[in-house]
Amino acid sequence: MSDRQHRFLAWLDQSVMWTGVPAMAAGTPRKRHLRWPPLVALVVASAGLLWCVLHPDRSYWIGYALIMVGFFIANLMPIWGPLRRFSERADEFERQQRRDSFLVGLATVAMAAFAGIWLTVGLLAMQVWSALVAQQELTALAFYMMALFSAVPTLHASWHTRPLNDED
Amino acid sequence: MVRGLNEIMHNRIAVFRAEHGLSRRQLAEAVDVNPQTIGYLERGDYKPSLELALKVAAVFCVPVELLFSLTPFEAIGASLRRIGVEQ
Repeated sequence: MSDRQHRFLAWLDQSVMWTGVPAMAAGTPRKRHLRWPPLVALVVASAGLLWCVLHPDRSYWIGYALIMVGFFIANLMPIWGPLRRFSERADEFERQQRRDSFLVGLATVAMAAFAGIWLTVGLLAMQVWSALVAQQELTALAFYMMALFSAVPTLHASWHTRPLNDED
Repeated sequence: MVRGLNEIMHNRIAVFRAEHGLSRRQLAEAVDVNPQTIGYLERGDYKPSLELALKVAAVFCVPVELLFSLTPFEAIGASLRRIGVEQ
């Protein structure tokens, strides 16, 4: 095997390791700070929700598509983010980090639900929205809240501590 | 004086770890935490539980107050000068 082929194969190996999939398969998923991806997910999903509220007509699907993109990105966060899952073994620092981050995440979801439901009820009562529009807005809100639940804990945990240098 | 919950806890884990020739990973295994937790402890980003503080102190065979303090530790140079090592 030539040196060039060897280097290419080594690069492929490194690329696979970078994805974190081999570590996940081995049962030791690599946890890393994800500072920007959850922010991107939240910005995209929020823009989508805003679009849905402002354009509840035929172009509603643009907002809905944006929410789904944000929802998709947000769902990747728990896999590679710094927080350990509840089923994983965690030490006292990781347990505290997980508790604090999920508390922030749940508070955010609760606030979004409170604001979204009252907005929908209000606009329904004022007959600005029809029952059909309210139904589709609530569907969009549900996906937005799920995106919040996946992205906010990772965002909080990633910004709460600075990444460590790999000393060892 | 009532001390706040957000008060910084100073520690000398890195100094003791270097003195004992231990890596973060080795210390983490000795006290049953992840190596990154030792890193956050050393940097002062995380205040350990009493149990963890006692475990870390036990690894270095020193009293816990030699490792952790609510007031900044004296610099080693200053300590040596104070006890007259330079003379």
